[in-house]
Amino acid sequence: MIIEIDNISKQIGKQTVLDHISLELVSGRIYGLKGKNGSGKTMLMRAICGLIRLTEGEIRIDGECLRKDISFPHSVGILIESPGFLNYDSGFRNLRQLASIKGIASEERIREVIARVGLDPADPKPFRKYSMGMKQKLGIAAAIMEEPALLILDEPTNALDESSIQKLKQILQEAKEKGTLILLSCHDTEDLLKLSDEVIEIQEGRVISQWKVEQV
Amino acid sequence: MRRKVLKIELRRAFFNRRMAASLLIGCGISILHIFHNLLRYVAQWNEMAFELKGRLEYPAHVFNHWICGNTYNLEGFLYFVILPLLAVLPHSLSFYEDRKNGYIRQVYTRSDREIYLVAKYVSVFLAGGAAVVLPLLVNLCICMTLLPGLPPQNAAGTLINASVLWYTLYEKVPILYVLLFLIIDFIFAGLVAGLPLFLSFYSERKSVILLMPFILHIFIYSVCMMTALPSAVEYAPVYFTFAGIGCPSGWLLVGYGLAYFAIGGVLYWLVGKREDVF
Repeated sequence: MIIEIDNISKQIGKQTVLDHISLELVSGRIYGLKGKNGSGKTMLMRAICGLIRLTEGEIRIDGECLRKDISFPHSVGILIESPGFLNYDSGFRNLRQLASIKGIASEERIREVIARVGLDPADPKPFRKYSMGMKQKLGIAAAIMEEPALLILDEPTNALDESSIQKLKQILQEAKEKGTLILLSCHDTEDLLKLSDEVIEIQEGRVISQWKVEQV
Repeated sequence: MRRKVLKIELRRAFFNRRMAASLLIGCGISILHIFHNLLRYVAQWNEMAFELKGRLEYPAHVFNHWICGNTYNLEGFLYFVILPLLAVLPHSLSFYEDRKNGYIRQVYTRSDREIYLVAKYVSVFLAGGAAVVLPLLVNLCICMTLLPGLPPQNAAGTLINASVLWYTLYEKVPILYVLLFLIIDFIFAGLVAGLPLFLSFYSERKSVILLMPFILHIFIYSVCMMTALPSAVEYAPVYFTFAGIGCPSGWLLVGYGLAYFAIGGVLYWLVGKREDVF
């Protein structure tokens, strides 16, 4: 998979949240977005998912123009901000319901990913009673369960303890080895360096630098 | 994929606490109507069975004594006043909630905007219609077990006359007339239930989204009541959706239907297709 981000801008009201960003992202790599709050990391992720309309420029995924040829990337797993699920259903039922849309992930696979992120697939507790960390883990499970070609994780380490971050790192490494293109953002630079191959620094909606972690 | 998203939305629409609450309120009013209005007619019938001969009074029957059969029962009027609340309660808020909690992102990226938006509208429409019509059907069924299905007589004090639609059907095949109105009520309630979908784009408050169709309903009723024309009141949905009053014009149904669909369906679709999801 190749994502070509061609001179994209996004304006909300009078504020420019993405300012002429051009990037090329290829599969089998983990890209970390670094920047302060409000720098435009999440907005860039939303743009790549096709969730927002661009004011200028275009995003091509394997040559197909987003929001023109395709509404959303064909195979994408996302965790952007708070993970959204149905409050009255258990984690497993929520994931099973979402998985039924595409019909790719089997019940066995759903159980496996829930266990993989450190949750109990048999836990009947409704989502509304989950702690912040559990919600985050379920969000990660939902993003990876269909083994997407593009994985977008916004602050995936939020509310996770150290052992869960280690598990996440393993999950991301495995996905990367399978050829998944991973884009993630993190507040913590140390976590970002641990998880990413390349870091893209964003400031006030602009890419100010892009470097490989191995070079640091 | 389209069918799967619709299935999920229908399941969410019909199996939730708000749907149960709406049905409970609706059925409560409809059962209250039985106790408050009908039992005395049943007693009257039992009494009349012994002395039918010689009485000029036309006996009470299903078609003018079920909850929508006449205008002088409090429960029937109350039911049609709160109709928008019953219709909106089951599933209309879910679009607002899906957008707020991020669930919409999960569905959008797995299916498509258009698929989700259509599935949401269809499920909201069906849930709203069902929540309003099911209690009426319960009332009709109970009335059918308690009172006889005599053909309605115009001289016996019914408001269904030549000034309303399908009055001949009412006199010839009253059950068809009643079913026709249940279908109209279903469609009207479904369209009303769709209005909050559009409001969800612009309001941050659940209470506003929930109450706006009801406020609109009361506003139209009040305007029609205040208008100098004596027949204007018939143009309020509180009345023309009421089988016992009848609908004065087919254009009224088409007009309201198109207006409500334009807001709840078309505008919702146009804004939903283009809006940024955060």
